[in-house]
Amino acid sequence: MNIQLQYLIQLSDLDTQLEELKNDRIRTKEESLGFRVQAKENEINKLRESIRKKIEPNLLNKYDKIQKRYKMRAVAQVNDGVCYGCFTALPTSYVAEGDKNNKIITCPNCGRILFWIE
Amino acid sequence: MLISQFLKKDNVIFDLKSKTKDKALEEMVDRMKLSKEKKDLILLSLKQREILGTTGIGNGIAIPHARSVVLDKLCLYVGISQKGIEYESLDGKNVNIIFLIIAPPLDSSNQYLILLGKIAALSKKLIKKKDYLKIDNYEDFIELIKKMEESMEDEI
Repeated sequence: MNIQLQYLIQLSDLDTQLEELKNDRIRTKEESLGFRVQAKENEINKLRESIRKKIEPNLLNKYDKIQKRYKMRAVAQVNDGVCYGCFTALPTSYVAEGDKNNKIITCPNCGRILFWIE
Repeated sequence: MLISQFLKKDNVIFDLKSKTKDKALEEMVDRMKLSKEKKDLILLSLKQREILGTTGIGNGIAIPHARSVVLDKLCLYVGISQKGIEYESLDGKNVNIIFLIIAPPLDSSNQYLILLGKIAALSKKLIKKKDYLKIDNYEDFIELIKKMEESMEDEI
């Protein structure tokens, strides 16, 4: 797997979690079950920055644009030839290639960075 | 949705060797039948969640949970440690049972949160019966979980 794709997935997984915890319904649910989010804003930023600085600037730029548009899930999985970001079937030319996770490919419909699950 | 449906034989570990949180998470994720790269990314997502706030909710229970884009379905693993694991829990106590949940970023009907809620409820019942620590085989464990789930349904 492309190492930059690994960093992008790590960042996307973190941003998805952070975005979820900003959602009142989810946060309240987690708190009612006994979980606490104790990390301070600066600790969270430090964690985020430590991942971001490993990502090449042009890819980070691309990631930020997608993240800004969709708030979460800037990296989407591809399952059975379908982008799970926008639920559109990818063109056959995308599906036919070899190990697709060796490079950074974006969805032609929603622009999300793609990770092939298989 | 039943917790027991998620718990296949391979998903329950009775003799966790690890003594610390990080090692225990590694030991459990290592049991997943996935490539090393996927396992590493799942572990990172779980550890990131722990940095945001510990999932050791006290009374010997931890419910680490995270989402990862590398998974396509909701997974549940249980790990039991007789000796206890240093987990930086909210009450400072060691953890004897870990319920580890990993979900894809999107899951149908938000099963992830429902499962999280059910496990939190079940684990509180489970620790009242400290004898769960004596169980050392899958058949007895799943039987106990099924019984508890039935009694929980009755309460609703």
